Amino acid sequence: MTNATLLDKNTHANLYINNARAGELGDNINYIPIVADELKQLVLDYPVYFMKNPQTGQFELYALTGFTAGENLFLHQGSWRAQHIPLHIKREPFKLGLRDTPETQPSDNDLAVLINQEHPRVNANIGERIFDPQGEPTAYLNAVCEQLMMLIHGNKRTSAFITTLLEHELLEAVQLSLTQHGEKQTYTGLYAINEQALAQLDIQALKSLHEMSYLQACYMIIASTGHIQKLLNWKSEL
Amino acid sequence: MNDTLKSIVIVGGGTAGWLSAGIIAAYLQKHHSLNYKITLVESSDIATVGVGEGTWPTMRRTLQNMGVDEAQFINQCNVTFKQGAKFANWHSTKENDFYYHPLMMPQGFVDNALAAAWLTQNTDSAEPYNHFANFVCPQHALCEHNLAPKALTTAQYSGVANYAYHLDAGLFATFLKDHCINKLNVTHVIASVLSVNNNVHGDIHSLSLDNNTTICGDLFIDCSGFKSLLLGENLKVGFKSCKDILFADSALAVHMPYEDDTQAISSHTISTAQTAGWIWDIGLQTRRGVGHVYSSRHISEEEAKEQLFDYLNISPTKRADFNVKKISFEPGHREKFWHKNCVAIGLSAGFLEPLEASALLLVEISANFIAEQLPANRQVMDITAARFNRTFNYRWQRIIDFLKLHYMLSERTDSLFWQQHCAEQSIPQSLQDDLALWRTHIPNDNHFDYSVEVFPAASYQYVLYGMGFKTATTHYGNHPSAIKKAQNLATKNTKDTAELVNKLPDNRTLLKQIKQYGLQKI
Repeated sequence: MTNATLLDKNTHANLYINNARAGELGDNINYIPIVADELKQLVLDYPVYFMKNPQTGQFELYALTGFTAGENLFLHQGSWRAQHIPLHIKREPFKLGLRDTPETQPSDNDLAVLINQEHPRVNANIGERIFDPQGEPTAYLNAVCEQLMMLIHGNKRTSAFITTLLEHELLEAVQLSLTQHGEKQTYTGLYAINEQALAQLDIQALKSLHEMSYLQACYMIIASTGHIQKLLNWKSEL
Repeated sequence: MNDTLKSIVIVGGGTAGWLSAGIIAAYLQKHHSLNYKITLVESSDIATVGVGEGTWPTMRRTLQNMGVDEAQFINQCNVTFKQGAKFANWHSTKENDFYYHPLMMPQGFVDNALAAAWLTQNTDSAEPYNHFANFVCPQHALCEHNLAPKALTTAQYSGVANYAYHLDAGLFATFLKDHCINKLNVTHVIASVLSVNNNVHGDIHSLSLDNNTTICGDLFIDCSGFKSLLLGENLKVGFKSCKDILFADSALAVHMPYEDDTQAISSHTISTAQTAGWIWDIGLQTRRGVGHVYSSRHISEEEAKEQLFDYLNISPTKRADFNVKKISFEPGHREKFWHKNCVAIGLSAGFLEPLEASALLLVEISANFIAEQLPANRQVMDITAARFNRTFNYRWQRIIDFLKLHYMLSERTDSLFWQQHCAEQSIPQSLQDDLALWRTHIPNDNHFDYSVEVFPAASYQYVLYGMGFKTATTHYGNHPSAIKKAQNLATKNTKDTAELVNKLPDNRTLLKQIKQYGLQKI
């Protein structure tokens, strides 16, 4: 992880965060980790897939934004072509960390906001202020804090969701093939909901998935993959 | 005679016994309802030999079919990944003499374009060989770098490169036992066999046990080890020695700790030839298993021990600290493996030597044969038995030939052992015929009698060309399109190799990650 320091109203009093959308500002990524709580908004714009975290091998939920490293097809002439931007992007350059190393299970009170000062959004005059002249958090910072809390709780709910899907063997590997300039390329490492397996679940399993709202999430994810065509179109326009 | 076969009794609780039980039980459970019973009888006071710390890639399918979680198996049986074997000093005693027998197929294997290109470019080479394996597949390089055959994101039992396992045979037997009893409904009886009781037809009717019970069965599987309690002792099926072809008859094994927990774990078996045998060196997670397999007709146990400790760089004063386990065996196999209602699997069927890790493979394919072709009743059993014997006699003979190939191609003349191995009278006619053919033809799978060979043609290529054997392929010349194809394949291989070396984690790192996170099913 890049260097993150504890956010401090004295040290960081005069910093600005540039929230313009641009590759140089860190938006140049082709997949973005998301939490299940965001699905309702994000499936309107993004194809959503499961991918494995290379450090842990565990499945996580992602919005796909491009096909090659650094390619974010949603970025277009200085704007982000979507109604909603994933929390993971919006909260940059902040994240949550532990204040100290607690001896017991850490609670929300042990969490503190950290800032990555090397992030390209951090600067001395453009964008949003973090603290007002009195040293109080700005509305912007308060909104970010809320987003960070949503992410940290959402992550737990998301991994519970994925664990349940795996128990029911509802994920399957998918391969995307696309032809660009006459050359065929395949993208592996993506996993989607196995629609056939979902359709064959017994009534008990369906009921338990429904009660957790997982069933709804599954169908949203299935529908979201249709956005791949939009991404392909955007790519062919490049 | 026409009663349905219902009860299978396995005698012996070593790796062979539990692996056979697991394979047969998993197959029957998947295909049938529960109108049969599998019982394994094991004595509490017989030590298992625990040969075979190396497996074949087939073990992945075997374990998966049994419903085993790969990460659990890896974590509980001290398992590491095996991507082949490195043979050092088999060809000559020169310092850098080695070749790999990797588990991956050569690139574009079907028409042997790469092998032909390699042979053409090496005809005038002053060097005896320049690493055939490295020219045709990426695995030579993966092994040289101690890399794993997969990443943490690769699904269980899948590989980026083909792989098998190294394992602790004792832990493996225990692991299989738990799985068989708890998941596969195998009945476990701990008792010694006092007597084997036959019926009037000579079939085994029952076993009298030392817990005052008698156990009846329709089919008996003899996994009693070298003792061959049922097939050898009771049914008097003879033994066919092959010590005139393969000379090794003894092994000395030690456990060697790692220097520290950062020492690289090899992802291949290292086999280093000695004056009268060879030393295996297998890296497990927590220790190395090292042993010297040798011919007692050529060197004494003391000499063999000295060579083993020299290999390990253990100074004479510290040698007494090591617990050296000695195993003696007669290389060979039973004249037949299935007789009456009894079939032998594992050491009771035979044992050649640890080279190429064929012992566990034979257990797997024997048990699979039984599971898939289980005779419905006693009446048809003799037909199945005859087929089993025909198939496995062929397989043992093929294995003997293949093992012999490793020795007889050597240019070593430094001891009687190697000289005798290269002497024509010690080489089976079948192998001599193969070699005559291969002097002008690159081995391909059509050269063999069975569609499913124990060792595929690719394995023969790796050993032949690793040992400096030459096939004169150019008597018709190479077609320009074949040359072009070979160039493309060679370029692809160089590219694939660089990519994989860059992408794959090292063996030790991956094993540590698997311990923490497990492996996904997909």
